[in-house]
Amino acid sequence: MVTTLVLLLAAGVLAYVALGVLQTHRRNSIGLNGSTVLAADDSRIGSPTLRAERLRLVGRPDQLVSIGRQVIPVEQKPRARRVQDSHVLQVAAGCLLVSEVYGVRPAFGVLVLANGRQHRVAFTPDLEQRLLQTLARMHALLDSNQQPRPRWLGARCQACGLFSRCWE
Amino acid sequence: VTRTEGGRPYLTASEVGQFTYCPEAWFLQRFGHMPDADAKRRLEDGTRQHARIGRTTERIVDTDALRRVLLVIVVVLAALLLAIGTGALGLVAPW
Repeated sequence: MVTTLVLLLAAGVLAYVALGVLQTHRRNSIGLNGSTVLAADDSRIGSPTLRAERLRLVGRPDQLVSIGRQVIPVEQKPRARRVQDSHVLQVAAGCLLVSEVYGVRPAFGVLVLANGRQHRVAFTPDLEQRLLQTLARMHALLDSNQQPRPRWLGARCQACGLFSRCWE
Repeated sequence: VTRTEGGRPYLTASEVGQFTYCPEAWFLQRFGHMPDADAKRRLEDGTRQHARIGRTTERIVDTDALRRVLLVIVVVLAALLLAIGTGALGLVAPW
């Protein structure tokens, strides 16, 4: 009986360690290293729709994770090789929504680029201010039903799926 | 995610990103203008990649749960062996 228990214990320890290695590999592959998953969009786990009524802003982060007891929003950009300003503002919107819904301001949001490269976006007061200004501009355009004027952005315009709508 | 509620427009976090990238493209998409076939293919590819990430996330959550169960089993087994070893259960250890 004791031999059986020892063998079971050894098998249990081995399985625990092996699964730990596998989990580290999986987490690294999607940039979630060092975090615990709380919610996930595009999966049966699901992710809640976060709402900030006063800002008329909603959003569903790709994942909500826990890092150091903070709820952190994660945005996955699996095709992106580098961080763009548009990514930073989207992550900031996720941080603002988390602050509104959970009542605790996250110090940062996580952006995951191609190959699971994790990038932390600090949610600073300056970034929050930029986000609020952007939201105000967007709402002003919608409320006045005013279409922004196209501006030439070079390669970005040529690669855009709406190029012909703007420039032809 | 709905775009209007009670007749009032709502914005989504991803729209904030789209607007920052290009205000005109954001506005056109908001009002139903469809991107060309190439852009649609890129969007579909992005959807597939997100689905793959979603599946991996499910596996991570499931395996975390399995590891927690394994840890409990390992601790119980270790405690049982310790109890046998010290004679706490009234059983005689073979060593």
